[in-house]
Amino acid sequence: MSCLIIFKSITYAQNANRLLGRNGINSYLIRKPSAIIANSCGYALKINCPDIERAKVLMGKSGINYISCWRYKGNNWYEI
Amino acid sequence: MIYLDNAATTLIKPKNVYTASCNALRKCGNPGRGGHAPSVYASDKIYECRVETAKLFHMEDKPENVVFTLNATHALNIAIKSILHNGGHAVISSMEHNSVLRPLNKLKENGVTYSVAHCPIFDNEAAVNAICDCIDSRKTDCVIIDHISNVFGYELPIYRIDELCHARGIPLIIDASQSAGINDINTKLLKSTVYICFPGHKSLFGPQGTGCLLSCKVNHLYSIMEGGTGSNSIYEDQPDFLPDIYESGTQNSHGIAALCEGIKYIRSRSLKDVSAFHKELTVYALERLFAIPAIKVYSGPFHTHGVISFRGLNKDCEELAEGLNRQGIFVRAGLQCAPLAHKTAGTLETGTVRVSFSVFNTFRDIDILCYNINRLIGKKTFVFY
Repeated sequence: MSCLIIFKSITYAQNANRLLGRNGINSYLIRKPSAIIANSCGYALKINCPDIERAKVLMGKSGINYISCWRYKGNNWYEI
Repeated sequence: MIYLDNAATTLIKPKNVYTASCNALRKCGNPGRGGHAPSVYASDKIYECRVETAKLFHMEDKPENVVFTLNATHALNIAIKSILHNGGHAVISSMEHNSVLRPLNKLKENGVTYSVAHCPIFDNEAAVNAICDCIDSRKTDCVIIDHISNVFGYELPIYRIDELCHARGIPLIIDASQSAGINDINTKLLKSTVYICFPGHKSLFGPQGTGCLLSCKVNHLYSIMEGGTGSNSIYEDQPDFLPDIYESGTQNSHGIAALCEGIKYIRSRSLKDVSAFHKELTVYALERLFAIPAIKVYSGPFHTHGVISFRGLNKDCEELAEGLNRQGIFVRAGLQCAPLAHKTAGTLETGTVRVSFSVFNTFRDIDILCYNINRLIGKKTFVFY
């Protein structure tokens, strides 16, 4: 199951992408789905949901700010 | 061809710079705008260059603080106007380029004033004292200094000046146009420096149209140009975070991809080695130039930074440069866009001939330069070492 981490700009998503990669967490840079939050034109990292808590801790320790995290369930996105 | 105008632009680049530029032209979509492969490829190239730049300046944990600009002038305009947009007072050194002087003079319309600290060339004690004397802790909003003079190769002691700014709580802006890619500038040791500005097309071997603003310890960001950034698009106001606040409009991903290879080249050779080689070339060139009686060479202690100015005692600088040009030796004559530095050295009326080196120059280039200077000023004999 996939989760998304939303960032305020692509640079922060890239920072997180490299950080997670260095720590063995695969992530994939995508455009943020417009269904998630209104301020469009953002970027997100798609990662496996079991990795999300560890990813949050790693980003927190490195001072990489993210906007929110989301999980896809049924046909909808839910903030987690 | 002997190219000795590297302080303006390096002409000979590492081969990977040319390859990266061509590849980027073929592969880069619009960076930070789309989710398709060419757009993400361009974004990745830009990010890679942010990381390389951040590493070069010892701020590897903050690649987002690397802002890409068109050139050093663009970066300096952002730095200066973000601090002084509402008026205020600046202290500048007497070595500054027009890229500092002209924005400050324009800002006089907003009530900005500035003091020029008289920094005699090659006298660091006098320079530090002069800057210290000009700072008024009650009214000075920033100090702006040229790390290495683009005319004389004179290096101002940035860590000492940073320290004195820190003691007075005043932000420092460093113009590193001639030092980025040659000197090791450690942002971790700079306490009061808020911005470092430099071009990509000089000693970092990028193409023209690339520059950089390093945002070090900035408390307040203020944009001077607004537009699309690919982020927060629903909002009508400019993003308030780095690097987006200062990067409106499509970035020069082709140039930045090439710049990245230039920086990698510098890092692969190590700044220590690059700096040592510049020192060797400069010391050798000074020795040879001082042996020519009909020119005056402007030099001083610790003059080792790859930029040398001289003038013919009986020959116009432009004529001398043109004579060298006809022999395939490319140097720059005139005021080098830095009238204040010339005024300081007493060369405002005559200008100088400037030679400036890169890691791709050789000692033989200097021999040939000096042989031809001798020939042009009428002295026929010259001994090759």
